[in-house]
Amino acid sequence: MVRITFVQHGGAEHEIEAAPGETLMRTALDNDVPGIIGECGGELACATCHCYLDPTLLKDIEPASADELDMLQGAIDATADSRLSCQVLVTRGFAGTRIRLPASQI
Amino acid sequence: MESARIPAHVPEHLVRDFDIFTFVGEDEDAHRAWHDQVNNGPDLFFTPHSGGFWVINNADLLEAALPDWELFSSAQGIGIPPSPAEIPPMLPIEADDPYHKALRRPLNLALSPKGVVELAKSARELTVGLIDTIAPQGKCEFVHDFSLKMPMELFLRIVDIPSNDREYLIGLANTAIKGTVDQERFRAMGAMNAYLSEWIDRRVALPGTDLMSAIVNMDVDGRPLTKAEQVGYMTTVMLGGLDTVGGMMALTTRHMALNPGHRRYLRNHPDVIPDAIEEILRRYAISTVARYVTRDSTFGGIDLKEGDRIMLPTPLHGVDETRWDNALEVRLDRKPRDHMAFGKGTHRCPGAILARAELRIFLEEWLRRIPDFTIDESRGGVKWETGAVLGLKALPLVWNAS
Repeated sequence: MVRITFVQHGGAEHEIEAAPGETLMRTALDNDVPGIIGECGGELACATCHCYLDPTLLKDIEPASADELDMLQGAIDATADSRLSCQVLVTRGFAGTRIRLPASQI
Repeated sequence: MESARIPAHVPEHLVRDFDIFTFVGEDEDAHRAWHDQVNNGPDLFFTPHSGGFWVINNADLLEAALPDWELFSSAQGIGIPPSPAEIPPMLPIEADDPYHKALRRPLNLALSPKGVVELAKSARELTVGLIDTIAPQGKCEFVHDFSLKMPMELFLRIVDIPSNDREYLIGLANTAIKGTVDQERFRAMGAMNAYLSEWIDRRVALPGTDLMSAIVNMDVDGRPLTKAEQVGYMTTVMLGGLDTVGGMMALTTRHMALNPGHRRYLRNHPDVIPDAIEEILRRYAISTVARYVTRDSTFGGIDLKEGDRIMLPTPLHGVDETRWDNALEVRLDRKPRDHMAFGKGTHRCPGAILARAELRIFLEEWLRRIPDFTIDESRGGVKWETGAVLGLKALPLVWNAS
């Protein structure tokens, strides 16, 4: 397990244990982290599990697919650090990382 | 109604006389009927009506079946009974992955959070406009005066069609989904296909920034859509956002008319409205889709044969006592997770975010303007209707307009 922290837009933090191999979205939902909806359940169809990753971490992990980039256009306040958390698998490299959440998913 | 012989592999004790179009009368509460059925019947039964169908009758089985598109295919039709060959398939819902997923892309984007921010502005404008007309009258027939109109107006805006034809389209859409005679439904579908076909030709010739232009000019598997695909797709987009949202609005309003405590609480605490909507979606889910069994298999302990048809009724999920405690009770703070009102898996409703926004905006604006209202029994009271989408065909309301 690795410890990661979800940071709400308002600053509230949730530090949780994440299992490598699990998606970030599932990890957040299973730990009752607010701020991620995951409406479609991971089908890459809704853009309601939007998060911002640390740019250094972002460079080290599998990049977003064309379909994810497509769907990210539908997320609110997307930036270059944006990912859809249903498409991001937790790895050992996530230890200590801070995942920022947008002001609103919808 | 077409009746089928019972196939040899269906055990006699699992046969029920169930017709989804008539199983409740217009004066009966359809969700209470599902409550009786799901909590007393077998988890899966077979009905000879509409050509012969298995009917899922248990929340856990429904939740297992909905995402299992490999066992339960949509490509041969989701209708009850399936539409005849001359009606183009309703896309993307009557398709299987990966073709289905590819088709969904423009729809997913248009109905994404960012897309819905804009659509919600239109929804609020239309909602306020209609309520402002209704409120001073002190009464209305909610289905005709609001819940059939508002979603149709929104659809017409999304696809940039003028609203002159609104009443014609409302009539067609209503018959296509709720008609109790198969041929009537198919005729209405055909007329709707023809209407949309003309608009599609215009959008192909001169694309705009509307959703119809995005859909009809998309590529799938590196080729443009065929005319049948364009027509089938636009028909689905139109029907998908009408009857479903309108039906939920009517059931929500009926609930509020019958529960003064709930409507007062939500009026004073509008921040609770999103949670209340999730609970109402759980308790009053409305859609049923049909699918085809793709291989001989055992499901819920019952043997199914390749080619069998099966109904997946979402209304039973929220009223299954094995899944929810005191399932009939609406608790505004229940915060139900994983209700099935929008389905589950790859076919999950692409319009869920918009539907929630429409319902939220409706409750906010209605309760602000018409805080107290009751069902007008002197004008016949509530009339239910069932079918692939259950709902209300009449909801006469009365309030003090002074």
